[in-house]
Amino acid sequence: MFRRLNDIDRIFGTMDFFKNQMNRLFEDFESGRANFPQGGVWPPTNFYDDGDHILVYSQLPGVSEDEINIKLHNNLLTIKGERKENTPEGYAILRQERNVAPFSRSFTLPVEIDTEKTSASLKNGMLTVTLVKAQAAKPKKIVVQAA
Amino acid sequence: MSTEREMVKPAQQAAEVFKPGKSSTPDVDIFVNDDEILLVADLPGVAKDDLSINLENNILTIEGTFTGKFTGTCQRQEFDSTDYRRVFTLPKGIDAEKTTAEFQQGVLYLHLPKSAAVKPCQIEVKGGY
Repeated sequence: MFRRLNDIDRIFGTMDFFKNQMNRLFEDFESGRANFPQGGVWPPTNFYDDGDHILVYSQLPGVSEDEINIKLHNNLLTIKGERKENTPEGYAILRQERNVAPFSRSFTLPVEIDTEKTSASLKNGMLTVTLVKAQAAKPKKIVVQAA
Repeated sequence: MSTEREMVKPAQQAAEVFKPGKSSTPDVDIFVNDDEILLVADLPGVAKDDLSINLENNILTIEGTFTGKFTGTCQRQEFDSTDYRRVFTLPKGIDAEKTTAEFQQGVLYLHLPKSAAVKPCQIEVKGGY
């Protein structure tokens, strides 16, 4: 009985969530972020380009270093892993919202990467992958000469 | 168990705060056993010092700030700096003094022990003759 009431509560919670999403739709659209993936896509990932590097930021709370598998093949970057089911023993579940499914995301990079110099770090549940662009893909300064 | 169910009310009922910037609700798991309620919350990117947990009467407020330090120009953005905030109404009989919290890899583990008065106990039946 208790379980069922909990489910009903979750259904209403989901409806509330959609309502809030609808309310925020125009706000997001105006700020140019209407194409945020909604659900199903995990982890959320940002890409930044600072000229010499491509920086990839992923939110991976509760995932340890050895549970993350990053692969770079040609210009296909894959971030894979699994967040383990973490229900502590002897506890009943009152609410479960945190994602525990295995995850995998692949991205085609727009430039060639120097695979030797790639590095990644994990801090406070935030993954940062630093990809160094291949020499040919780095921006070059063109000097204007006086005629 | 009815008192515990109260905790699972939608967080949206909590009053909004006036603050600039985006705010979001962290995902939580809530587990319960005879001794305590364990609350697990995802707060990716939040540093330990930017996290505040406040327990006043029976209102538990979890707040954390994530400031994204991204370098370069944005190519694709799926998350941004945000203020995490979530408020819970705790059931009666939580021993606020003994509450402990751990924070690892962007995940908060909050142990809320039940006070002795609400813990289940076995009642011994004494035999007559």
